[in-house]
Amino acid sequence: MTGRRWHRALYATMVLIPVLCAVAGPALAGLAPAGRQAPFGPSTWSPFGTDRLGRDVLAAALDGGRTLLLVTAVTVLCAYAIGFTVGMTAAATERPWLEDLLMRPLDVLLCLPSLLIIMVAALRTNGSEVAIAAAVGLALVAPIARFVRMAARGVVQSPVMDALRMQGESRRYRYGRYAMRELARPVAADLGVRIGAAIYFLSSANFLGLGFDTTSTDWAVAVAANKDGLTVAPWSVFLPAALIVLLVLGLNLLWDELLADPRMLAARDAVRAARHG
Amino acid sequence: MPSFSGGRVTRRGFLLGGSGLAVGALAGGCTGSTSTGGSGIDTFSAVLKGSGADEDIDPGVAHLFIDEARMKALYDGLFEVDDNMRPVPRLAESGEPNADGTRWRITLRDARWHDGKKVTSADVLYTLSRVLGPAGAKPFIAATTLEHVDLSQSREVDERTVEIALRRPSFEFLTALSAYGTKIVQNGARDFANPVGTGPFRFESFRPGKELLATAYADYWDGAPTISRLRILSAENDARLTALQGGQADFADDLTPAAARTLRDAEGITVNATPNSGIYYFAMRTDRPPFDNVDVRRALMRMADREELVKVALQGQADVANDVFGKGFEYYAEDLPQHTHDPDEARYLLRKAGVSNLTIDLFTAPAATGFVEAANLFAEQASRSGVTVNVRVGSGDTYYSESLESGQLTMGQSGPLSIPNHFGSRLLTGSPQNRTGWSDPQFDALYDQALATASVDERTSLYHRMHEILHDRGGFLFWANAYWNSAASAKYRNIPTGVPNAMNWVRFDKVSL
Amino acid sequence: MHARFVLRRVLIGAGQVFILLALVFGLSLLLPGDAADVQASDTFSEGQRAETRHLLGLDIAPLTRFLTWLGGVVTGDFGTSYASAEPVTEVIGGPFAVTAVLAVLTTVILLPVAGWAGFAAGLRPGSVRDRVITTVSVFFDSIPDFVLAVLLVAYVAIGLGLFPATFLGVDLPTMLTEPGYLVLPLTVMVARVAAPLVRLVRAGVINVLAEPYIEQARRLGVGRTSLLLRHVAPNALGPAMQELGRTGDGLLSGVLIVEAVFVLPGIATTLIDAIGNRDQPVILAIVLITGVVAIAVNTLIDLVGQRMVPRRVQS
Repeated sequence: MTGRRWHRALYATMVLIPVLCAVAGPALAGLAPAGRQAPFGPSTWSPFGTDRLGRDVLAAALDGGRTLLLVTAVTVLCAYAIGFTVGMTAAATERPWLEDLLMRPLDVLLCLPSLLIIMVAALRTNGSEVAIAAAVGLALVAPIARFVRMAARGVVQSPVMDALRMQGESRRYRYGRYAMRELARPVAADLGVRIGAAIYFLSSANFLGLGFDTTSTDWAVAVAANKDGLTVAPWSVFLPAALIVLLVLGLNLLWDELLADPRMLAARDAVRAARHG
Repeated sequence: MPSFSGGRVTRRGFLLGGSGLAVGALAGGCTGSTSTGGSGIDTFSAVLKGSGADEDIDPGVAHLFIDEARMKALYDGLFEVDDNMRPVPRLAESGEPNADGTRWRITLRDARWHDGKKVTSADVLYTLSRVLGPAGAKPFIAATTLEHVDLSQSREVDERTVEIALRRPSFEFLTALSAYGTKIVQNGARDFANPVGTGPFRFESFRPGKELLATAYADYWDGAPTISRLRILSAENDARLTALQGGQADFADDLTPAAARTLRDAEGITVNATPNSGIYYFAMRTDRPPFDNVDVRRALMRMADREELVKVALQGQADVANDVFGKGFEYYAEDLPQHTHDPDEARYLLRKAGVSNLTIDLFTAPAATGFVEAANLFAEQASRSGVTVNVRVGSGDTYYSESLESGQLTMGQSGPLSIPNHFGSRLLTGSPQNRTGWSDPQFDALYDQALATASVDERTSLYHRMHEILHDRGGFLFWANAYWNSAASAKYRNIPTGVPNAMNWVRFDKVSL
Repeated sequence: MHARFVLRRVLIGAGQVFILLALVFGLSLLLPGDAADVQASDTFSEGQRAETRHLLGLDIAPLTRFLTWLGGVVTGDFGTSYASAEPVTEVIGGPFAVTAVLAVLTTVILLPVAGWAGFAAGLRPGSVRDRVITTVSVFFDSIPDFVLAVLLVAYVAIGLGLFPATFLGVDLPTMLTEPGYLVLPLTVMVARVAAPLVRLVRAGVINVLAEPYIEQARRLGVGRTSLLLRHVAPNALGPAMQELGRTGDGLLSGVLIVEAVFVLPGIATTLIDAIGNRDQPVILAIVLITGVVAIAVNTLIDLVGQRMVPRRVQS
């Protein structure tokens, strides 16, 4: 068990570093000298040197996490709320027309070149974060809904559900408790995937230069915009990239760890039994 | 997965060690060049900034940098310009004006087309009538630069002499003959997909956005090239760097400042930085508020911290410019005092103009290296004078078209161009590319007077007066003359290092080992 | 499968494709400027730009242009590219072949790798084997594919000189006869797509193994292999199949990074170029083909999914 605890502490630290950077970073970044130094050179403030615009790499990294984290979190949660509802309804319904009505438009959405949507959103709104988040969210909804529907169908259409129904369990219990519990693990695993997807989506769009503000300190933007200087100033790429990787890697590992912990499952089952007993 | 884990083969060994078919395909491809004994170069691969499907090989309509590189390989112009933008005879042997500069007598060189025919006056007249005639699928580029040519009065004097008549005098006509879209095509030519040119290389194949293949033309008038096979490849910024680093190309053009720095540390690669090559500017619409007020324009010229813009946005790979175009070129006004960053003077000028709480929209786009960076930095600098600059980022693809007519303050980068050409195409009332909405009768009159002046000294002083006007109150805020970075494998000599658009830029027929 | 169900899905599919094309055309009009503006660059006069617009037929109303193009498609004519003035079929033929090769090879490598890894990890959750597989897959999942691609190019292709760094000037036959070219792009593709699949298969297997009926089957003496193949696999693979079904998006944005970094002349790059050139005939043709493929694949997956987990028989 100590090994497990150690793991969990490690993973939590991995997540905490970028999160702390994002939360407290902007204040700390204010301590860096304001002027510009020579680009891709040494910096007077930190050992990481300067980025393409002559800003201190560390200061830029401290400054650039908040938007990324906020945009990603809000986007994924909204997209999941919509995608889950649609997918679950489609899986649960016994009316094929309703399923078609819900799922077929999503197929269209799935085929829309997402980068075209992002490009239009960025160019039409002068790079507004809300618009870009909405565009990324839009691209995430369809795969989420399809995934949830496929995963939920096995549960919702299972004999157990029939049995529960015959036992007179309420719809609320059947879907809210039983189905949710069954789906928790695949959905949780999927949520981890989507967070990564949202971050990479944003950074890929930046990497391809689709009209964002290329001077922002955003980690994803920094990775893409500084890649020219990879060999002359590796930290300008590695530091923001490492923060992203750390965040997603930590989240994924912590996620798996929590989901796989038998004690937690047991605790949850106990709570459930006590409430329902 | 194909297994390569066991092999510790070198790159070359690996590439040549494959199947027989691959050797043939790769000898020209990926290994760049291989020497075939003597001083000949088997294949030389040059990689330039590509532009996808928009690229063209028709000399009348091609207008991109990479198009021009292909044109240099396959065709010749009557004249080209040197690094100072002075005309140099190429397919022409000489060009002499009459007394008032309305008729030019051009004598042709003894040269032959790739199909063996002689180059004649008829070819020149055909080329002119083609680019001045009705357009095909795309408009002809030179239609504007040559609009003053009077075809009906132009004539063939003999097989190698042609007389071109102009509707109004111009002692700068030879520069117009070196512009884009003026490469000489064969009399009667219609099929430009399989070009027959007079250039140092014969056409082999062309795929837009991908590559041009051409082979040496042994009877080239300027001597047969050492390179037996030339490939001109199209690629984005990162790919040009990687291709050169990975040995897939022998020459890479137009490298970003960071790429150039990376390559300077690399072994076996020579980097060339050609100064005065990319002229960066902010363009104020002088026909719209707030820039219709001359003091606001003067204030803006004092708001820009050019040193900082160069250091940050262009990573130091440029010289500071002085609000007039063409440093290093013929007729440049070297003696004008340098405009410097002076926020207080700017404030004073704004007060004088009666403007307070000035807010300006700056329209930019990632259209060239450093644009968005410079725009944001300029916004910071302007705030020191109490001016709010809102940066609006547009699409890099359509930026130059959009910014031509729209906005208050836009930006841009110009390739090298002769100073008279710059005036004529951008600064006259009704100029095709009048980005600053500049219209000044005195300026227009000086220009006409200069073109009609035979003496170079007198012309120079007229151009100087035009420069003074622009330096004092023009709409262009020129802030940097950037270096043009190109790099090549160090084993070659005579790698072209001219400023873009000039004769010795991406001209590969003199490259040797 | 029921013929009516299939027919219904085909009809819906046709409607979906139409709406998809209309949406894409609409979106492309929302981008600033048009093909004439792109071609005009910084040398054209206003008059030349207008002339270009007229020569390209861009002065015709957008709706008319869209319907004309659609009418042409019905007769097998995909129109002419605005940017290159070549028939669209010529513009997109080669790139499609390149991307298809990449996609097929990726799938061929991906399925056994991801399936094996997911099963191996899911069968004994918490074991060392599981931890190694999970960590590796999570690690690859957490590295943005362009970072991986850029690092591979910088350190493996250029640093070690093991493989070619770009596909500059390389045509399809060379690509196939010289497998060295494809190693790095395929590595990135598989690394990127495999990770979510492995995770999903693993989650599916763990989930199914926790089902009471598996325990039941074990007690009844169902053999291990049979148990895995007949009971675990179908249920565990359902969600993973869905992930695979993201072909539409995968084809266009997953491949895009790889194509962009390695300068692979594939369809995703062609699409981005076409968007940049405001080249609507090419954009529409690409979306039409990828859309038909993606919708067909999604439909197929739904049909297979139906078979794997049948809907309750409706009386």
